[in-house]
Amino acid sequence: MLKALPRILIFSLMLVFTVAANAQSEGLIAVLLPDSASSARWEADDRRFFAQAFEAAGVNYSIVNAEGDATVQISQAEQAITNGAKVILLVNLDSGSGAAIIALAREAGVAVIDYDRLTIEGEGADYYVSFDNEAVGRLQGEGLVAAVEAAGIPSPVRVAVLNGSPTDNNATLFKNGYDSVINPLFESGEWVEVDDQSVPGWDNQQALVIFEQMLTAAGGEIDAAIAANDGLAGAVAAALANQGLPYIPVTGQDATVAGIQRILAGQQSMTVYKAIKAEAEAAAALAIGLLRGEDVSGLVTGVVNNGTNDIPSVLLVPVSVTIDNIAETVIADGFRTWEEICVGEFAAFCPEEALMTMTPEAGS
Amino acid sequence: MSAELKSENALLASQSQQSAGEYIRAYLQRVRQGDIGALPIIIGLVIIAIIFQSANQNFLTPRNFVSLILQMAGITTIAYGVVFVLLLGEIDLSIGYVSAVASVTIALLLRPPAAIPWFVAIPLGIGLGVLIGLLHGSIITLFQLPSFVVTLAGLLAWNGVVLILIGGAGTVIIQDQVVLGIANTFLPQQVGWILGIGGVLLFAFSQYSTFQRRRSQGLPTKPVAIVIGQIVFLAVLVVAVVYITNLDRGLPLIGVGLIVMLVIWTYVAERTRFGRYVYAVGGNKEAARRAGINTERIRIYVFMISSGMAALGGIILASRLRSVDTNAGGGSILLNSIAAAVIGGTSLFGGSGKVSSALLGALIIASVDNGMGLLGLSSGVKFVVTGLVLLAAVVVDALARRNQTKSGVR
Repeated sequence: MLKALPRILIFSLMLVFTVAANAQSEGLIAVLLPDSASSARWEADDRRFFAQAFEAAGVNYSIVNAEGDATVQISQAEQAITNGAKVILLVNLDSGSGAAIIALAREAGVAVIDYDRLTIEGEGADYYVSFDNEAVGRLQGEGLVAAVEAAGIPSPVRVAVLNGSPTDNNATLFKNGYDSVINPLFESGEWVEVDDQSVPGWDNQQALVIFEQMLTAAGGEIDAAIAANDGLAGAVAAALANQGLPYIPVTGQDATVAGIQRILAGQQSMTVYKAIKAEAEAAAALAIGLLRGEDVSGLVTGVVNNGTNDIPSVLLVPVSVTIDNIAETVIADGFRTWEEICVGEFAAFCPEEALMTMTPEAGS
Repeated sequence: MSAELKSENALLASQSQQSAGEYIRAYLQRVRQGDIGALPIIIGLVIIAIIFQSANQNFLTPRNFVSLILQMAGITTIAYGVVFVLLLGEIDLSIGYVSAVASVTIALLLRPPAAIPWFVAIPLGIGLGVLIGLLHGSIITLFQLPSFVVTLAGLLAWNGVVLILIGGAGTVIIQDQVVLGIANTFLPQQVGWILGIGGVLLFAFSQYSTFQRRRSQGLPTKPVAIVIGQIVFLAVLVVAVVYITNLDRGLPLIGVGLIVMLVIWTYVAERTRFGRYVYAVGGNKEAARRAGINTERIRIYVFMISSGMAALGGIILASRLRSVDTNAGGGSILLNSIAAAVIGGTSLFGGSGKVSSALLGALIIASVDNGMGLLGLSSGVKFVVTGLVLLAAVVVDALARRNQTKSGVR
């Protein structure tokens, strides 16, 4: 009896919460987040931006996180429907469980918005909100072309490619994007591909070894590199510095503090900035419209095929960040601050206006 | 000490002085009986070298040799600690993220503008690792829990701590020149030679003094020819390593560090009372307890060693990457560190193994990684090959064990 006590307590608590939730909701928007390990954004950014948007609109909402467990996420979807959810904003953990949740919701007459990750199994969600990941890759390809031209590297330019994780569908989309820009250059012979490898799990330590070995195989003669995100770009910069070689044009993504610091110091050419706030606000606007039964066709910017159906989509445009527009993009949005960027040796590379805005001791 | 020597004396009194020929025959006999030592590693390395060199002629170059030393440094350091845990027949699954907790802590402490000096930050990071080991060891012994479960909990919890510590920044760049220098310093040519020759002389001196001491006490000694042979072998090896690394950037400081750690931990394992207790507890815990050894204290110490070495390894990995990030401590670090010790010949079942197995095993793993990176193989192929190498090493170990059982050595 004593052993069962905690379980009985938890069960009765759940009952109370369920009843309480049912009592207050005429219609609910449920946000199902995936985990807090793969990226800091879900708990640190998305949760906050969604809560702000829903509270401003005065709608009922719930935000839960499945902590990496797809079974938990399916249960959370069932509970949300039980609680009277009319719209589910879903970040799936994999396409299989995502399709199961969409089927559950459809049966109950609940609309599903795929947020950031497209469910490529099954009939697909009602809507899809994300960044255009192929556009991210195209920005990287174009960024490298511009950097190579600016550096005046003579043809044939020897280029190495470091892709993201082989199990990540987004990494494939990034690759499609930059390949569409650089493959014609390889074909024309203007550029020469030194090597093209994927980095398992986006692991920067492995990326370091992979790029070191690319350098060794090429006798140290690599002129430029595609790196699919800032972490991989950091591995490229570290490998070059460790071997006493000069920095080369290299791309990035995510506008991390380290990435911006390297751009300022001339160790990285560009990064791609995806405004999480804009993405969350677009998804929230769509969800609120659906909850109130309004016409949302004005919000939709295109369609994406999930393999079965065309899904009406809101595709946000990523922004390329170079040394010329740091202040107008990530700083202006409050996504990064000069205080966190201009520390130690990097302060020397910061523009004067940046140092003016900072507290005196931060720049020392 | 003198009592121990006397008992050793009595034990060995029955054995007579061996000649060089007898010594070699006895060695071959031991190999046939399954006490194969480092032999499979050396054969494995030769095979790896032949395969990769024939596939890509950049494999056996000075540049790649120096890269290999740098690439193996982190997991070798962590694996030194793993050897002690395995000797007890325990396991530590938390080493990957413990290494990250230490490196992230140090990176944050060193982050300007409020940077504290490196000589405070590094001891703090390693001390934190040792404390984590004390915590693991205390929980394991206090509640009599399997180390597998406790360190599995540690794996999750310390991964969480890494994520919390790094927060939204994602990556922290290390700017401290001393910390960056750990994995990125190359010794000038003359210094490399001096250290190399000094090391060989030190080895020769220690062999000579052991020889003299045993002879003066009337104990059987290794044949003189064998002692000289071993010294010459080491000298040739050292000259080759210093010569080859000097053709490129020079002998890496961290390479010297790996050897120093090897000597220190080998001394601890084989020449101190603590080391003998570790082997005794790992061989038969109950017998060791009845012999009056405080087995629980030994277990706690061993987890402190493994976490402390993991912290040191984490610093080396961070120094190489020049930054720490949310991925730190993940990926293949845990698997590679444990695999290094096992491939090198340390048994997973306790009581048998050497500290040097960590170095040899890490050399195999890093060579395979290094060679496959050179060939530009896909991730899938890399995983399959690494899995097969690990499997092959364990199979060789199991076969050797079976021979030992057959010939009654165990």
